[in-house]
Amino acid sequence: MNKHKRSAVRIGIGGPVGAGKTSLTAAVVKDLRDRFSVGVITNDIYTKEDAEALMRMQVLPEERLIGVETGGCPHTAIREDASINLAAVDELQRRVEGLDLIFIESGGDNLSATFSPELADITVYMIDVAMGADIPRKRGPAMMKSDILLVNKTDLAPYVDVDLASMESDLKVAREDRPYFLIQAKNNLNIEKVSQAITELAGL
Amino acid sequence: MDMVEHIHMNTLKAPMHTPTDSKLITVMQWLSPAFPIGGFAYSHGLEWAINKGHVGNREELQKWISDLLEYGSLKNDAILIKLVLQGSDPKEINELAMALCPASERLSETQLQGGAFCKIMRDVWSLELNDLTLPIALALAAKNESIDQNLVLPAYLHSFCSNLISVATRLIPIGQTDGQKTLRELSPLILDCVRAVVKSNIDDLGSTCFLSDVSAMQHEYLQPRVFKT
Repeated sequence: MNKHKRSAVRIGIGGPVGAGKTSLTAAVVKDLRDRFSVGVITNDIYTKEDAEALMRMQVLPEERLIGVETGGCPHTAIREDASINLAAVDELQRRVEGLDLIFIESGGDNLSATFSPELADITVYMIDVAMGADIPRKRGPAMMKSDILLVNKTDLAPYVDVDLASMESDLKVAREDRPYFLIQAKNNLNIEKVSQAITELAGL
Repeated sequence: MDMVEHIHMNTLKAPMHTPTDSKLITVMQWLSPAFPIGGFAYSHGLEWAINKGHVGNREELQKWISDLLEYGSLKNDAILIKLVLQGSDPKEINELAMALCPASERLSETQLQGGAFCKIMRDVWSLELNDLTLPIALALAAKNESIDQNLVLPAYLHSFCSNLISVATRLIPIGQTDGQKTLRELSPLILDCVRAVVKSNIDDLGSTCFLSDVSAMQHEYLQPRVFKT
């Protein structure tokens, strides 16, 4: 039986393919790993490349990382049948005792993707400006219901004709009083705000 | 419902539950594609076979699955379920189930789904099952609910066939209609398999579906891939 003294808080990171989920995971984990015991589960559709990338970046020791292949159904694997991810959560907690936080990076979603409450305690959803300024206006479950919303790659805004100010005003409407941040994961911009929001929500 | 009863009475020649039996609903729940054991992620080696052109159309898919029913892993799974239902030591039969896996992905496929099945049995049915392969977990769950082999065996085989067809509709140019034709045409073969298994014993275990077994081995090195096995 998998009885743990204390269960880690699980943070689901969702977002379309290429939004920067792996870069965000790397940046946030680097910011948190000295203060908390952290593990990561990456979901890849075809390979275990994301987990391998995190290993190469030396973000965490190998035993704290699990790469899960989710088959052709990345949404199913975080929502209606999360059994493969739940098994990975158990495995991670067996390997490393006393984990505080487990990040579960999804395999790439559309805007209706959400995490099963059995899998993730806190959900972070991420888009990037190059996907177009109208995503926040269109809203959708992930945009509105995630605990934290991130807009990545804000440095690209001028190159893709996105007016950040108007995008942000749409965000305010979509998010009501829930937090959102404009970030650059690769440049470490506003990452500490994301980490702080996560640890506050996690009660750490 | 009369038709269901009629088919079972005539093809299985065994005592049949009334169609209003709650056991039917329980089995439908366990073997539904919505039952969260991760079934959607496993191709049982079929992905490699499709990739290499061994299975490329509806006829070849049907032959592939019917061979598994007659000579391969599906027949074996059914025999294992029957043995546990008839009182064989589940621990021993589970070890046998693991030993019969010809490739490491076959082993992980049955252990991971079996583990997820056990977890739901603990959480929902309060049945203390742990670390079993899928057929043995299912057999013990069925035994606990006094569910007869004539109900659980065709349901298990049907659900397995249906999952393989769903793999094929995602990987090769067969559409949903051809998928349903395949499943319909496999139905009598599923019942044939059950009839054979009911009369079988432990010495009838064994597989001669070599290409399927090799596919499961080769799949370990297939990149990129949509399925875990």
